[in-house]
Amino acid sequence: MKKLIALLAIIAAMLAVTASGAFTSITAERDATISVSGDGEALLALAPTTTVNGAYFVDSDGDGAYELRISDAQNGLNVDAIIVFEDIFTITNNGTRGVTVTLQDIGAHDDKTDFGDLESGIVLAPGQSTTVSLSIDTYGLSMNDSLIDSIKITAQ
Amino acid sequence: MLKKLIPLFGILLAAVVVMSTGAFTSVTADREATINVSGDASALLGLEAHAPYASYDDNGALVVELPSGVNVDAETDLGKVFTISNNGTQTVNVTIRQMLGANDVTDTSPILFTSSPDGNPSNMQAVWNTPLGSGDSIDVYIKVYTNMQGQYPYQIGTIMDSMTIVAE
Repeated sequence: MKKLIALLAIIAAMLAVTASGAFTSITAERDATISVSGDGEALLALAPTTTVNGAYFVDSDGDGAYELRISDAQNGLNVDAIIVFEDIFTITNNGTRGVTVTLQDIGAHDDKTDFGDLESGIVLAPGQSTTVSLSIDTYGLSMNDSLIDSIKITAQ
Repeated sequence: MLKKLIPLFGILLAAVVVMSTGAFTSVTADREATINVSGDASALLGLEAHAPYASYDDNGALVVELPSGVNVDAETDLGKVFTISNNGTQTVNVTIRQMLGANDVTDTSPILFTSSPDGNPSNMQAVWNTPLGSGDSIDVYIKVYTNMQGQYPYQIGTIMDSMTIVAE
């Protein structure tokens, strides 16, 4: 009988413990702010340089996203030539940890455009920037060939 | 006959007596009732912040904040931002709603709260009526898809200013 009472006491104690943690519902509102910024002020900031080649990096439709527009150059690219555009735009890591930034060019002749080390990835510490330059090889291409139609910048 | 009636009266009388003893004008009884408020980290619904995008305010409440806005026309993966733990004793369903001002913008927001690092708009795994057993926890990843304007339209500026976490 003593054993039984002890057992009952233990069961009662367990019930008491478990019952104390049960809840029907919890609703908690928390501050959680996420904004979208134009490229210039975003987490991964993209901005034209102040050099003459910065003019190739423009937000032509005003949506806050820049576009690389070499095709808008007044005169097209020479065939059979190497054309270099230095210091077109900058990439800045506005995040709080280091990231590896990679630039992938996508198009019919993406082997002809060279963004240097960015294509394999460079490391940017928080607050650090890099300047993007582009070298184009038009040997073997024909007039009106399109080289690339997009670039994809990844930071991870 | 009378002999039978007397016990009956007795019973009735007893019933009246019992009932009348239950009448009272007021009873005041103090009972111990302990209710503690915990910081989010150790509450019934545990909310554990993960740096760099989540932290606690002075009251110990979870806060999600970014150093700057996410890019337009981009996919932004903020990684594991916080962990929700069910420190209660029963399974609950957890839902995270996104608020902008007084509006619930969850359905149209480009932000995805997902319980999986692989969650994406075609494989949502959103934290939405997600069962969470007693003692279990789910990691919450936040991703922002500003490259899907057609489906999730947004304007430059704040797209969410608070979240409501419901466990029921």
